[in-house]
Amino acid sequence: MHKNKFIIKNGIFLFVLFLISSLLPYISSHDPLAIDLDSKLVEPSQQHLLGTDELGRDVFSRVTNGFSTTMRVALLAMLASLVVGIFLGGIAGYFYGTWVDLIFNWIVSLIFSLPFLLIMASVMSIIKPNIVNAYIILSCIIWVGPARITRAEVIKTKNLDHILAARAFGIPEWRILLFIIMPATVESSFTFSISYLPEIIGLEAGLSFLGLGVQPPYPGLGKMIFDGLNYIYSSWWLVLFPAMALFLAVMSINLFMAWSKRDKPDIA
Amino acid sequence: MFYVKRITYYISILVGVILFSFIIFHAIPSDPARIILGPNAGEQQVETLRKELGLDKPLQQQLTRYVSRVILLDFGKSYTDNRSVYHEVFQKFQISLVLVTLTLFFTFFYTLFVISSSKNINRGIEIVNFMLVSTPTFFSGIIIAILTFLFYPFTSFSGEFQSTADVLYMLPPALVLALYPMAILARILKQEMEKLNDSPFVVCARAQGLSELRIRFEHILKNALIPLLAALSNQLPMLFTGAFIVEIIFSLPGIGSLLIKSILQKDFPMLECIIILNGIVFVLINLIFETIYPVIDRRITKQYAQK
Repeated sequence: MHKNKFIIKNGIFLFVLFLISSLLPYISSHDPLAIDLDSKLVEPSQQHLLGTDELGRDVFSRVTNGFSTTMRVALLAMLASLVVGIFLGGIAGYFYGTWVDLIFNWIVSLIFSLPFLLIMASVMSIIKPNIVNAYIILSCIIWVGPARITRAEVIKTKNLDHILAARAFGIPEWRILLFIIMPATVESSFTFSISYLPEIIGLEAGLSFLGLGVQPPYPGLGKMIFDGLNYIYSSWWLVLFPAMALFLAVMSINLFMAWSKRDKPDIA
Repeated sequence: MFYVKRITYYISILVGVILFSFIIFHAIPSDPARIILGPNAGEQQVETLRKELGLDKPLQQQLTRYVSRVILLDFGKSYTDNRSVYHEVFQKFQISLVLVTLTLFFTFFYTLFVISSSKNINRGIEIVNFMLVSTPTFFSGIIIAILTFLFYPFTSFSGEFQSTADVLYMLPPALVLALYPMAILARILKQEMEKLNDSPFVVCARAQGLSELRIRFEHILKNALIPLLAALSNQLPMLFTGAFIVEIIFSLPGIGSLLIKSILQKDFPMLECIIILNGIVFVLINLIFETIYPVIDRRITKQYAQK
């Protein structure tokens, strides 16, 4: 049963992460979009916990809102890429050595040969940049990670005895692949995906940094950092707090990974 | 035979990269002529420019023209300011190259430090590595930028390398860029060293009375080098275009910031050139590393032969 326990533990962690990031906007004291030109670039104080930006908007509310968007996009993209990755990787692994596998490998190496952000930004330069498109493209690219893991795993397990037994019972091949081989590979690709989550968050923040993610006036962490760089020496809080939010998110995921790997050191 | 196979494979990847850049910027319906001239230009003007750029021809003709030009390294002119794309990218690439070289120096020295450090500070190094891996470039970059501004004497860059001050200016951004790769490499190195620490040949060397430093550098490092280089070959291609956050924070005119500018201005020839350049860098780095592996560890060629 330990396998299921492992998946449940990770699942609970992700769920809590999702819950926290969904609830965060409700604790913000101000409207993140409310412009107040009388109190612009105010230092962190009692009224504005993390100060205000160049339009007088409350940085605390903007950080919590932006953080919530980033985390939700990253988590959803991770889940989507996991499903797509397990499916495509499973098929490639099942047809190991044939042209299906060859084409799969070629596409995966092609995607890996270009930095993800470069591909995403090039595509986003053509289509309309908004958060939904950012999410779709993000999922379209990062599936290669779990897919590669799943493929290796399927190649290893597809000729084990219990699968031969299933074949002997006359269970159709597609059912064997879908319901017996693929579920067994979920654990390793799931673990990989969570350890990859910091990178997904970085990609989302990078897109937003370029102005290709969340569109203004809605707050995105990357965009806030990009705008705040103009004021970096006079109003340090504009840049530091969004960056710190990213740091905390990545840190908490890495800490969880280190903790959950503790009793299972063999998982890379 | 092995090299023929690998080189054909990498050439096919390069062809894929060129096709990718073609599909993105030609096959997907968008209107570059309109982008160059802006929304106020007349339909007649746009039509003329479209003819000039060859955008009115069928897709196959465009593809053959595109590929033949790419092979001759002729990437055309920038949409926004008519400069030669090749020269522009080449010039920016030199700056990125210096930055990456300095980054590698930082990584190298940190790795040396990790190898030679005594066991007492193992835990400390582990914590430092963990912190560095978890820190996004946004965060470390901003902190180091503020510190640089306050305490570092070289805070201006002329855009070309005319004096040593220009190179010295690159040091803080190179440090920021180095933080992530060096933590990853140090982590892998630590794991490998721990694994090898009790293996028979190390115990034997210790029994012979060799000094701990000599054992580490001569016996352990040789065996831990392959995973280290593999990780490095994964990190290296990312450093060229992935450095854009650092380049923007420190306002360095490298490939990364050129990429961002081109994306924002929809300068497609520039983007094509950068994507292809990136593919070439990726292929070259992988080829070089795959050539180095068998030189370091003779067993690797045998493994390939068995496959």
